Amino acid sequence: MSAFATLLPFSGGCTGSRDADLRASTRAETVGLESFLASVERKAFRIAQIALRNEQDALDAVQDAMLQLVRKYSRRPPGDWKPLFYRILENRVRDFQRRRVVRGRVMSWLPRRAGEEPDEDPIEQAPDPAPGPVAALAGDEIMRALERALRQLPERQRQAFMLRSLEGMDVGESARAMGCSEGSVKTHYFRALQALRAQLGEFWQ
Amino acid sequence: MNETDRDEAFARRLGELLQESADGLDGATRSRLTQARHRALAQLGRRSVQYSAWRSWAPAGALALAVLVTLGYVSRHGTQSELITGTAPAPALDDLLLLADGDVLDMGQDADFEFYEWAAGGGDGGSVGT
Repeated sequence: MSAFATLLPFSGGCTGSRDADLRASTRAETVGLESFLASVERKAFRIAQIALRNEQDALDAVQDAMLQLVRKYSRRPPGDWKPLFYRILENRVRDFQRRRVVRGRVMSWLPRRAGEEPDEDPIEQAPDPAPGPVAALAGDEIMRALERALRQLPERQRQAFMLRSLEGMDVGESARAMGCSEGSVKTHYFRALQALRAQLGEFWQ
Repeated sequence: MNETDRDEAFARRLGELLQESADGLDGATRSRLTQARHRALAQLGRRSVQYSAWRSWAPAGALALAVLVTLGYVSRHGTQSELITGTAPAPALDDLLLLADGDVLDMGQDADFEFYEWAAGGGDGGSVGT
């Protein structure tokens, strides 16, 4: 409370109680938001990492999404936070992907200096030497195969699958996060599942 | 198990794998995510401080405005009263300050008391100094 306010008999007490209310309200908001962000940050990072194939970009995208959610939507009901957060995250992922495309085009015009590493990872580009699907593969190999398969999906199918399978969002929440109808979510999800089964289904037969 | 059940079981298995990979993030990545979360939440504290500072000055500003409005009303109200009733209004602020001045009005040693008595009598022609 300011010193001047204490000299005012009719306003000092009122300002003090309003400040206390404001502090309590901000604390409650902070606790709720912190709990929410802590519950989604790792899954959000994996979703961004699979889409961007780059850990730093994925961290930046998640941080940007957190900042924007807190800055613009902290006063919304808590039930809105999840679809809003993933909507923002997907927009940030798309921004990074566009930036990468533009950067790639610009870099391709520049002559490569001697000794400079090419952008593509030659190991990623090499054909898979595995003899074929085997019933019991090591967990890491399955995860790598899953990531490869997810990256090959069209963006909307990947989005629908990740939100429903990893984040556990229902059709309605997923539709709000993706900015489309529930019917579209179901279609994207179904097609994603079919494509993934075609690539990975033999691992679980 | 029909096709739909197989699809659901398959999707559930993939979801579990992805969840395991999220839970198994290395310490450095988890730490950076925690820092990102704290940076985002720090915005809430800054917004609260700015709002609280504004609220602490608002009553003082409102009081100052009220005093100005009151003074303006009082000075204007006095002028209007004089016109309507023809009577002298309550002493204006300047007059009050003058009267409150500690200096005694110096009427002079040779103040013409007779003149003032004549003036108080309405100037009825009584000769002065007679």
